[in-house]
Amino acid sequence: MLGILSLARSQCFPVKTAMPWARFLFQSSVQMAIPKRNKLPPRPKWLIKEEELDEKFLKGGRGPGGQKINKSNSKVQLTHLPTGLVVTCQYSRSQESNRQRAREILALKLDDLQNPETSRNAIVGDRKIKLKQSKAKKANRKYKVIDEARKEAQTEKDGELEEIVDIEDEFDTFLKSATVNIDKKAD
Amino acid sequence: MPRISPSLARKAIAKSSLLPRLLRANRTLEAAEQELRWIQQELPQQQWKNAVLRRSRLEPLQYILKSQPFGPLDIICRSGVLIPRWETEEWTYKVANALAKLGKEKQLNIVDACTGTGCIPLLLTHELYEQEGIPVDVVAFDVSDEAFKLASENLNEYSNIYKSGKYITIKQADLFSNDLVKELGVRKESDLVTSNPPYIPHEDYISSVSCNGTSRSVRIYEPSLALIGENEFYGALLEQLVIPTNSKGFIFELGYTYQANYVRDKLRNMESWKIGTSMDGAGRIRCVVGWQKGSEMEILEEVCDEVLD
Repeated sequence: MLGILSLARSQCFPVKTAMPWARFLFQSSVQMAIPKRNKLPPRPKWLIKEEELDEKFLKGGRGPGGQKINKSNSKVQLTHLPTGLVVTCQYSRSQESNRQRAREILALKLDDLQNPETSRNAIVGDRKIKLKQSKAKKANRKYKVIDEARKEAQTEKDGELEEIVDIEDEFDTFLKSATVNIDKKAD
Repeated sequence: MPRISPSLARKAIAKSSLLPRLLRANRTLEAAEQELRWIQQELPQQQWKNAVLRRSRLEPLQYILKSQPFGPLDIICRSGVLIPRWETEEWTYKVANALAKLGKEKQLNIVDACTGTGCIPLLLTHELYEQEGIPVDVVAFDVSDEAFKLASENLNEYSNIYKSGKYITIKQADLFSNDLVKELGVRKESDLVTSNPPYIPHEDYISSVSCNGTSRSVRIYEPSLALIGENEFYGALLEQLVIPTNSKGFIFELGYTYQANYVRDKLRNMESWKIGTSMDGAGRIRCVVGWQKGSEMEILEEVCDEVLD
């Protein structure tokens, strides 16, 4: 069974038309490959060690400060000393939440650096691509079905038209033949 | 101020129809996008349009969003009261970190003048009592009615979350009043006087940012009562509070070196005082710090970047 499937997959002939039952098997096997949203690897927070970090708060900048100007930005800049990775974050207004978020981003980057294949970022990215593909596949399938239905309807309609034309023709021939009969009687 | 280029406006409108208006207050696309994100994060959708409109008239974002983060606290902000600045947050943290080393044995009596939203006493109490367990007693006051009400509101919000709220008292009083100490009900001894008094001289208040002046948004929307001031505030802080309450230390926010020199000159005859200045994160002079030699407030030297003689 599996052997047939893999064979069917490796070759590029239209499986669906040859083995319509195989479609369902393919579909389920593709969906199994996409990890569930709640089964993704956890955020690698354990990679963050506070003693390896240099944290800076970038505020203000050039020009007058203090009461003269009112700046609402609070940027957090984290430098990971062993690797030299630099991460900044000013996603929200609160410094505390920016600090947390910067650490999360840095942890993901470190994860990427240490395990490029199995890192959370890689798996999340992979999942995104797979989801997109399966979505496109589903859409294709859906429109294929619709197209087929349309085609079928079209051919049916054509057939009906043909039939209608046939009836008229028949009627014409009938009329012609009828007149012939009348003529014959008149004789 | 240069006008916003059409190409920039076009780029903005491609991203969101709300963005172009924010360019008036922000000037760069990045900053405008950030503010839009904050507006969208903190306000319900039906208020976005109005918020952007208000911001395009240069109203401070904190008045629109009604709050400003101050350390871990969220301070309520309202028109009529000065918005807490990041520089104030920075030096308040420095002071709290220094005072945290004093230990839990002795209660710290702190007076905060010109408190505004009440951000300094709230953060100090949070850092010292909530984090370190150091007992504190803080009296904060402001002359403005609106500031008094808002500070009381902030204290009320704070007391709902933290138990240390009861160690803060907010009063309405005038720094220049004859019986200030009596009005405040401060006990004879205080350990620390903090203040962020108005310190912008009038000529800088009316000039533009490019001439080392005040930004338009601040001038139009924030109370001039909390902004325009000269040496008289530092004189009053010393004569009306520091000396009568026999305070062991003080820290005042300022904007100019001459203000620090004024404080030093005022205390020059008093042998027991040491004066220093402290810089902000952008490298500008931001505070004048004083402590009595031999007292535990000598720890304030940590806050200083330079000790004056």
